[in-house]
Amino acid sequence: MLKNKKLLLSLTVLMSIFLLSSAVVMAQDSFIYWSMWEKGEPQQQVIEQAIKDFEEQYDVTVNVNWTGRDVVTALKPRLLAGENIDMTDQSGEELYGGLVANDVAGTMNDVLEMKVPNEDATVEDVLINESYGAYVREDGSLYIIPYNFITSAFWYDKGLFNDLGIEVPTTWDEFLQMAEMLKENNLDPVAYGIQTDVYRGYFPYQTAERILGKNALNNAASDPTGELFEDPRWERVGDILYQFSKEGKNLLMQGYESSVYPAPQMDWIMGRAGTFYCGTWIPVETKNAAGENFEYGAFKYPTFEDGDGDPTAVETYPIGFNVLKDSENSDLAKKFVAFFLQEKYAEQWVADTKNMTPRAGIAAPAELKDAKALLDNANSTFRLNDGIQADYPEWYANVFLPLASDILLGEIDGAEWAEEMRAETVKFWKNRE
Amino acid sequence: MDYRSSIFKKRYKNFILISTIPVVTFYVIFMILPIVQSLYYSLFKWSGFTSYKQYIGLKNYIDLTGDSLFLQSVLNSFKYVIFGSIIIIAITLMFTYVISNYKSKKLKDLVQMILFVPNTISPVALALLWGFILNTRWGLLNGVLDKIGLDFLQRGWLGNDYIFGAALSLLVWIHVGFFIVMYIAAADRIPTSLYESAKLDGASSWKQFTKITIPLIKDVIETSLVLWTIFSFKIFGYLYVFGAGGAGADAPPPVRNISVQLFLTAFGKRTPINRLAYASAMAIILLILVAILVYVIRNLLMSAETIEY
Repeated sequence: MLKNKKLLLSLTVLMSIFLLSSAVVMAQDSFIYWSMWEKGEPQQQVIEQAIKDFEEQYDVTVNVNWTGRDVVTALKPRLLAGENIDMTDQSGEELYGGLVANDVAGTMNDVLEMKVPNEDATVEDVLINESYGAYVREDGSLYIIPYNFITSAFWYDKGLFNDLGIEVPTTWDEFLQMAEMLKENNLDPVAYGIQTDVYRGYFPYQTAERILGKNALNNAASDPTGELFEDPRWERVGDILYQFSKEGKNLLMQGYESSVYPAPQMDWIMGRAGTFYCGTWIPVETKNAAGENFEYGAFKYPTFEDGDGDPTAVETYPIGFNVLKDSENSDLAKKFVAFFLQEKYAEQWVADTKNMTPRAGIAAPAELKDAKALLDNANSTFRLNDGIQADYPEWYANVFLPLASDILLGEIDGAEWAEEMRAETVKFWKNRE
Repeated sequence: MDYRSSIFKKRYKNFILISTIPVVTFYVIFMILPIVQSLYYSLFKWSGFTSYKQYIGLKNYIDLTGDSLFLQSVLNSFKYVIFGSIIIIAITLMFTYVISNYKSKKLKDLVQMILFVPNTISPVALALLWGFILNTRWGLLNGVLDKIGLDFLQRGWLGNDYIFGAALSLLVWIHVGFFIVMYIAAADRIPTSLYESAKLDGASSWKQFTKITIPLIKDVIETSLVLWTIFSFKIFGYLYVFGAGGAGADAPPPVRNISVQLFLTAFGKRTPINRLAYASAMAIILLILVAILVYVIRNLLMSAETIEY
């Protein structure tokens, strides 16, 4: 009887050790990744291939949920319920606005120091600093390691501009001349859709970057007194925006007040408008509709003689990974981040997705050559919407976007816009005291 | 067995009590508890990402009074109730008049089925389709208007001036089919003898419809009004997608009702607002507004008399 008891006890202990050890092994050898990509997208396919290689090379498992663009929203209830999710990816603004702002994201500085597998370089060595520099916090912390690199610019058809004898503009005056020439040739100067938030925000914040400089909009948005909007240069910003409107110099395409995605890009690619301001994803979106001889060109947002901002500065918009703060398998997840930054995957990314990679030394796809040159020649970079979408999302939704509508529809002029920005900002913060 | 005996009555009462326990339990867990929880959360500052909450009392409710997007969504919800109910009931009655005059039952069923089809399709697909139809430059509606020489009627349907009407037209298109099924079913209950005697008295089909059909389906019309009021406040999928295009953008403020505004405030979508507790306060306001409206409609409009036939 005693012998049987001892045997039973030994078996129980052995089983427990086996179960515990296998649980530890499982925990160490796998991680969970919720992705912003959906099954079938070229981006998803490149990442899936890298995951497969990673699993084979290290004999580990990556459990992926191809969630789609609303991944941050989808993560929220899971994290609240205490579920472990190790890694996710999204644009810098959405990661910072959602996960960093709510203290859920983990810092990624240590990944910069990790060695890229099969290469004699660290992650920091291979990444272009501009691809993440704008996302380093004042205390030095970084919450994103980019694998896709986006910027925005005015897009045009090089063949069309050549045929019409139009030079690519650099200054605002040249831009207006270009617009006149396009109008003379029965083309709307700028394809545009005010109902799409990202398009509505472009011109107000780009103009602010040029005239007042980096972080001016971000600082003014956070000023409860509204005093920063009393700077007369904001009225100048408003004057430029008014010129875009149908009441000003009428630079935007006919019907822009009711144009919804994907109408603006379709109008541009089909030759109804001469230019279109958008991110570097636009060639992928429009390629199938582009004519055979369509040659993608890009030029940066115009500069202003009286502008205090860096005339070479361009927007940077990384899409990248974040390993969450409470990740149970952060080491393995971070190992994958470094693994994915290998040259072969960066090359595959460029070839298959027609996007830019933040890895130095890899050429951009032909369609993005001009945009890449703008980045290479930029002395500084700034965040999408000067960071207000992530840092002050409600101000962005309640103050910035509605007033952007008003001025771009020509319902108020530059002086009124600057005053409204001030007054609405004061009201906004007063309501949140 | 004596069904009037006190033992039977007691047993019957116990049976009723026991058999309602599962239903009441489910109702409390899935309806009452979330409402109480929402009320509790609405007193905090909370993003919903972590369990950390900061008690702030009624501040969320005070903030709502100055939140222009929320106030616009409340106004929009009332506009959906008022304009939607007038248009939907008018169109539904019109179809009821036409369909109830069909002699063939097969034709009647076929027309009802066709009108009901939008209710069986995904809201996302319908909202996107409606957006494409109303697209200014290459939408079907402006294209057709151009082809038939009515180009002066072309509008920027998705611009701020018309987008509310465009969204309302989408909701009307979908819900008319739903209410027609209700109205026709109610009209079919009316004894044919009433129509036959009216016909003998020389009443036209329109007179029969206004003097017999409408009064006798009044209870259903009133129920449809209550249902539409609730739909107007809580309808989500169609408005969430409509007007935002396929770019995953936020639905434009002129089309948002409280439900859409609530979701965008709680979960963010492309603008990472993430104020779950603040959105809970919106949910409580939504609940109160719907309860008041339904109470008012039921008390003011519901038939005082029961018509028997």
